[in-house]
Amino acid sequence: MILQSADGIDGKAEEREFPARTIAQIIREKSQAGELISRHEIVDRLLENGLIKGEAERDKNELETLIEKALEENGDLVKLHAEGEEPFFFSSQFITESYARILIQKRANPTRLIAEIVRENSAIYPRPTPFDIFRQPPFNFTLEEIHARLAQMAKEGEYADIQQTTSSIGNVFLYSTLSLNADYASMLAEWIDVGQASNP
Amino acid sequence: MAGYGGWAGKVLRVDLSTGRIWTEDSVEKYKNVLGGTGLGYQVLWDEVPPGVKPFDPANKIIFGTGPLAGTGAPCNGRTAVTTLWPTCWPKPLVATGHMGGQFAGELKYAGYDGIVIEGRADRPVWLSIVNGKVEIKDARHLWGQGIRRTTVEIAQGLGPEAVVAAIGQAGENLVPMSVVMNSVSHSAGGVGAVLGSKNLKAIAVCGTGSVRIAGNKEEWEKLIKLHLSLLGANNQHVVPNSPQPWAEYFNAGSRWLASRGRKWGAASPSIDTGACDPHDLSRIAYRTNNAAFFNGEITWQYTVRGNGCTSCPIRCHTVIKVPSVAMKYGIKEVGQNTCVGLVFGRSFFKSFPDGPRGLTGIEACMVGMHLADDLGIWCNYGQMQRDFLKLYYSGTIKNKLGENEFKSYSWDKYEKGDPAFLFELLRRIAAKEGELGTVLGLGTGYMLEKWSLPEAEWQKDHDLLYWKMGHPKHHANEDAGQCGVILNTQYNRDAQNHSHCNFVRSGLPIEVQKRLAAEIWGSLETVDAIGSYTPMNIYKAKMAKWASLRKELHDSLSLCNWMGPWVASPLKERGYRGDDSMESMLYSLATGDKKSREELDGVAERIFLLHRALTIRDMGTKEMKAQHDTIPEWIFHDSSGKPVYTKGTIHMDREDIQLAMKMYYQEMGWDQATGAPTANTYKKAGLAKVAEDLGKRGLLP
Amino acid sequence: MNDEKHEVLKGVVGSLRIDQGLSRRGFLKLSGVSIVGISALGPLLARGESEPLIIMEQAEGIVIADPTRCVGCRRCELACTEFNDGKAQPSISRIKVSRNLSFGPKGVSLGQNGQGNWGNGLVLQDLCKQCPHPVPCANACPNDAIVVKPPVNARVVDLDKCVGCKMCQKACPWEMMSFDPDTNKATKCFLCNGKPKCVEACPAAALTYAGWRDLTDKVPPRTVPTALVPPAKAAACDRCHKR
Repeated sequence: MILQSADGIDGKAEEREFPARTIAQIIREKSQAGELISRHEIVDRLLENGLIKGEAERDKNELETLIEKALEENGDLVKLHAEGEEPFFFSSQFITESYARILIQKRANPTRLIAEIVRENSAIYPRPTPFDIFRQPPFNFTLEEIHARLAQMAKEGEYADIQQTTSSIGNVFLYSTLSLNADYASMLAEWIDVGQASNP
Repeated sequence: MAGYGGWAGKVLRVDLSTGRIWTEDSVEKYKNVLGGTGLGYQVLWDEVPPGVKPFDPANKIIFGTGPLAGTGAPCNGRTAVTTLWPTCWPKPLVATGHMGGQFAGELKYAGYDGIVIEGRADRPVWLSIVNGKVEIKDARHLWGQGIRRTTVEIAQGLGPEAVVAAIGQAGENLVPMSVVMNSVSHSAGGVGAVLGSKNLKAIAVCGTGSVRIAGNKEEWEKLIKLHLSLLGANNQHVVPNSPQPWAEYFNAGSRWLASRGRKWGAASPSIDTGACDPHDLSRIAYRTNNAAFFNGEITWQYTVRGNGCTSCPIRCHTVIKVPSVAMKYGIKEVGQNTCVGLVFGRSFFKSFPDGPRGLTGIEACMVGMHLADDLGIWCNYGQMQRDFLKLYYSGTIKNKLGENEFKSYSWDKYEKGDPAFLFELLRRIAAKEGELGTVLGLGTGYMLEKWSLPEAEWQKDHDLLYWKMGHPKHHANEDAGQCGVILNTQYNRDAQNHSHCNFVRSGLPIEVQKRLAAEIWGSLETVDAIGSYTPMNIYKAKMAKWASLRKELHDSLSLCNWMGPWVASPLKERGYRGDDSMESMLYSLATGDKKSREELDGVAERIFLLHRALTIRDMGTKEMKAQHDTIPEWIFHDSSGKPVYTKGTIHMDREDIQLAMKMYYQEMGWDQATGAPTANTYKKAGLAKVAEDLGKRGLLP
Repeated sequence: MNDEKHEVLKGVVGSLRIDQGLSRRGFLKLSGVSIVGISALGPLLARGESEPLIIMEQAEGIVIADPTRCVGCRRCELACTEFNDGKAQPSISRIKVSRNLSFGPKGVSLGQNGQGNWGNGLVLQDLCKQCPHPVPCANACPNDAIVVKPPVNARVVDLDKCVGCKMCQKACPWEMMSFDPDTNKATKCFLCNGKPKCVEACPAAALTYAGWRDLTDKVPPRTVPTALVPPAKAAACDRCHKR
């Protein structure tokens, strides 16, 4: 691919420098909007801005190098990928790794995502996770999708720790028995759903 | 005035019996107790002897602000209203209500740090404060009117910028469960009837003066920005309610509700609250939506905007617009309030036809606010509503009321969860009409007495949340184990202390909380995860002492104890650390009186000790441990019989709590056996005269 | 007059939009002015201290308010006064919210049926429009105490010249002039020299600092101005506007 800088100067050193800076900008802009960006999308953006011209396939490695350079030179840029999946990029100035992991796992393995969230919440706070949270951003799963995944979890041994408890006003909470027992989870669910509002 | 900034310089004194109006020098006389509750306790100690009752002309009611009120320090719009408390049972003692809104700032701009009102006018009056011009005016045309009409009529004469604190019919009728309110929705609970007993309908303030900042203005600006940068959402929750791009953590119980897709739906046009990155200080006001927090997700479509006190960016009040109530109940479709004030109406009902998070619940809130905030009725932190539920469903109301009176209520509406029922009930409470109306207005203690109901029954019940002396608990063991229990023993009404729970509800993982706690109180063992309590230790006692002191400090400086202290912050780069010296830094720079964190806490201790001394003196006993610092039975039981220190129970162990009180008294320098402060402790806090007086009364250990 | 000068004058007069009121004779008179430089456009008509100051330059920026976002916290008023004057005094704030906070701009007459906290909740923020020529407050000042200040050309009270007569207060149709009882002088929005503190302070993103645009015919006046232009200044209008 031929790399063109905006003002037409195309000495080799500047060719490499300019796109690297632009890659950083592209990643940051996407992060500011709360989203990750894939390699493919970076290429699209560069193409849109006329900063590269077609033939992207042939120069894949070159683009790879440029991206690596951008990551090296900019401490806030992060590359993250789910196992066996393509990587995504984001800026830690605007997105945390926890949030990025949600977005990545959402594409890669949403069932595992639910389990991971439930397990983490049960371990570190500790608290059970309201079912409803998975219907909201950034998860945006439908009711049917969540039910399907929970049904799947119930069948698979590796998710045997994921259990449910219901508050006195009928809201379902998920927890992991790796960190919480049923009693504790139930008490905490009641506290979150009813207790805190009754003790304002 | 020794050239200090912050203070306006004068405390306004009004004797309604004689009509005399005079002022005192706030700095000269009250600097050592700052203002707010400090001012209140000092005046009561110096001028109101034991034996005076709340409705006596000799009782005084003190509206106190602090040196930070009216400045740009975040969250300073608070007025502490201190007096002998009508619902304190069996014997009235000192307590404080807190009023937000515009009153504190306006009073400062008018040139006053506080108002002390004593005596009784011979006819209804209102107090007009227009900068230096203070007049007692005839209120006979306002008497019998609600808070809203009173405010509008006074504003017609003083101008739209007048801030009016008024009582409603409840206060006029000497209903103990009554409030004084300003700025639409900001009430000080429990004091309405004291004003009513003095025939004082309202206090209106117009202030065009200034509050001077002693320090360099650039430094002040930097300090304010630092404070703003550490703020979370309401109650200093520093973790958002759902995963946000900028956040490592989330907490479904957090009041930080802002999120893409959650809109102020009734704004014209609607406004998306968005992902409120904590570094963006221009979006602090979008973080909190208490109407949605309490009423559920559907509330967003009714949300117009946030509202609240002068200077506060948090906006913990929510303005909601609910068109259906205009047609159904003939009331204004716009209402606003926060927390218990917001849910006043819905809290009476066991259930609603469309469930706990439906529209009817919201309508009940609207009807409740419409009535209670005009009639000026107090809920005692929801205790009135909890009592009502128990009294009705246990059949007590039916037993105690005569047949005619019982029939005069539409109980079918009540059971169905029809908000229209509130029109029947609340008006009668304000008017002291009928047995039920009268009894509910007395406060729980006097209600138990009047209906010969055993207090022990209230103290065993897990749902009533009753603590002692006619009032409920307020953030006790369910929030903070032993620390919470200790704090709830200390006051003469519900604790009104949020220092501890703002921290433990911050939303941070328990390991982070422990780390922050260790930095301030000395050990990772200071805090436990909720419902996973460990035995008492000295660090928990230190935290309880800190919480006690900081509550008084905030109430005396004018900082909102529902927002501070600032132990935690939402900033990952600070390890989620806040700044525990925020109060002392603000105080020092605003006033020019440089005090370190420890020094200012020393002043707070003096103020807290005054409260203790007043309580001891007016109870006429030093046996505080046995007679005052009592703990209800329910905290020692778990309804499913789980043992203490197991995960999933919040109940406490008797001996452990004994130890907790012992350690607390030790930290405070109080006598172990009685719980009374020692002469030495009083002296160290600059209260030698207090010690002397108590000594003469035989009330020193 | 040479062509270049003519071109410059045309350009200046065109951009200032005073060509309509300008007679041919006035234009010719104007052309007699010696232009110091193309970049130094102003004060074009202020030809020295003996001549009354008539502000011609437009401001570079303006604060714009969104009332639907205002949450009534008054941090703008506090920032304006505390950070500029070292004291919190909302009554002299140069952004004005308090007067609309409870009942709206129409005041108590509408009771609970107006705007503000007691009405429908809407809080209007009143802001200085940094008026274009003719600038009412500046033109009413008998001492030329309201001047234009670079870099943003805000209209600013010169405290050395102000005598506290309050004519400017009477002149502003939006009642935006403040009067500081501590200095006994007028004060007004000066855009904090390009970084308005109110904008920075607002926790609801309800204020924006934007490029200047003329809002004088877009925001209804709050009062009927009752100031007169001092005779010396009125005479100076003749420089450009003659029957």
